[in-house]
Amino acid sequence: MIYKYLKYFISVFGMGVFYCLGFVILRETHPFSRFPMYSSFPNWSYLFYFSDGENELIPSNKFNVNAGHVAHFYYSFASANDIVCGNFSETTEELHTIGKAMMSNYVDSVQTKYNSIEGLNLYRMGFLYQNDSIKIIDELMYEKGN
Amino acid sequence: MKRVINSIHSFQKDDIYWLGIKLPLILYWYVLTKRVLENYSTIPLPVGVCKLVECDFLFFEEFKLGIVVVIAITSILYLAERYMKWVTLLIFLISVFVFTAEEANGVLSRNGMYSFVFFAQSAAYWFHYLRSKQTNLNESRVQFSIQIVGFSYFLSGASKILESGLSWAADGQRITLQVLKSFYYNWATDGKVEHITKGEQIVKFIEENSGSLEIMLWASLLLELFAFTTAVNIKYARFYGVGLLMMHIGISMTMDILIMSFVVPMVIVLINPLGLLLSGSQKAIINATR
Repeated sequence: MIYKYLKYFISVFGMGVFYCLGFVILRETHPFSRFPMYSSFPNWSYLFYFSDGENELIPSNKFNVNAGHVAHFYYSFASANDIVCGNFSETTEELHTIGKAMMSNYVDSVQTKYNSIEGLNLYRMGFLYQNDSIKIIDELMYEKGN
Repeated sequence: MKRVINSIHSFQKDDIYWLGIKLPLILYWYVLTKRVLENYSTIPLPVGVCKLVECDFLFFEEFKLGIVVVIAITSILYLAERYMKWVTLLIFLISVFVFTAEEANGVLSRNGMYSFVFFAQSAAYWFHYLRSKQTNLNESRVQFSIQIVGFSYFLSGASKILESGLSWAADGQRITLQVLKSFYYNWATDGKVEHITKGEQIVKFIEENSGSLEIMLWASLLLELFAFTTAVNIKYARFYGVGLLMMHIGISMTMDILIMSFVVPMVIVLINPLGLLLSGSQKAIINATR
């Protein structure tokens, strides 16, 4: 009887369970993932943007990338370099290190009229949910040439 | 003309259903993989399989064209139902290397489910081969794919419970921060200020309807947690797929986020609109020629 149910379970769910086991063993290693999108709603969040010397926004699509991908790179680089990030805990030096890598990855690797701009800046815009309202905190991460 | 009508008559229902899955699945996969090969040139942050094998070769100019040709040939063989045990396995392996290379550029496109659907299909063909063709291949190649989609949603739901507990939906009022951020992302991408105005309007709407928001979050959490049940029955999977699609449309309308590498395989595998359209057309032609 148990064998019959087990056989049914494996035939109906076996491949899916195998996929879950893959995640348990290999964690976040493609193709395995627990797909943690919006698993929690922290009271903070970041956005990253480029600006020129006059602090006018340079849309990231000018560097052939969208802002979501720029943010992914921030977290991936921090994780690969053992920098604890989030909730505004990063030091100025850490922001500078990550900012330099981001600038190198997204700006220096693409040939556009924008990457020769004097004083090209990378900013982190932080969102903080406090007392039922959202505060926006801008911080300069990296200035090209510095 | 008669020959065409006869061939339409002879085309089995299972084959039409399967074609409805594999045609859009491989076409979209081809577009995704080609885009990765065109958009990146280095591996700045090695992860996954790229930690074990140097994945830079994918982006060598002399190899790029060759890889695109291999991808095109495997796609054609897949559609032509040729060497399926090996072709689906090869597609899976290419998928793992290409999408890991994308992740190694810091971009998390959540393509894991997409890659593993091909592995599941390969497993169906291998089981069929190893058990001397005693398994029902028509059923298993579709059902295995459904399992991967269903369990991927389950993992996403379980991840919410493990990370935030049962208060995930109740904590949802802070979703306004994520909503606002999403619209600011659009502004930072294309520079249009109207994104920010739209985001602020939606945040205001959510704040005024926080009760409805919590109900919707509970509904989406339950949909995800029980998505693995789609593996039980294909017709039930279709209805469940419509529910998941509604959830994605809701997320897209409020947060302007649509994770295509998740939504597209879900719609193809669970709902299979092309399969429905093709079998409907076949029925209509058969009825008209009787």
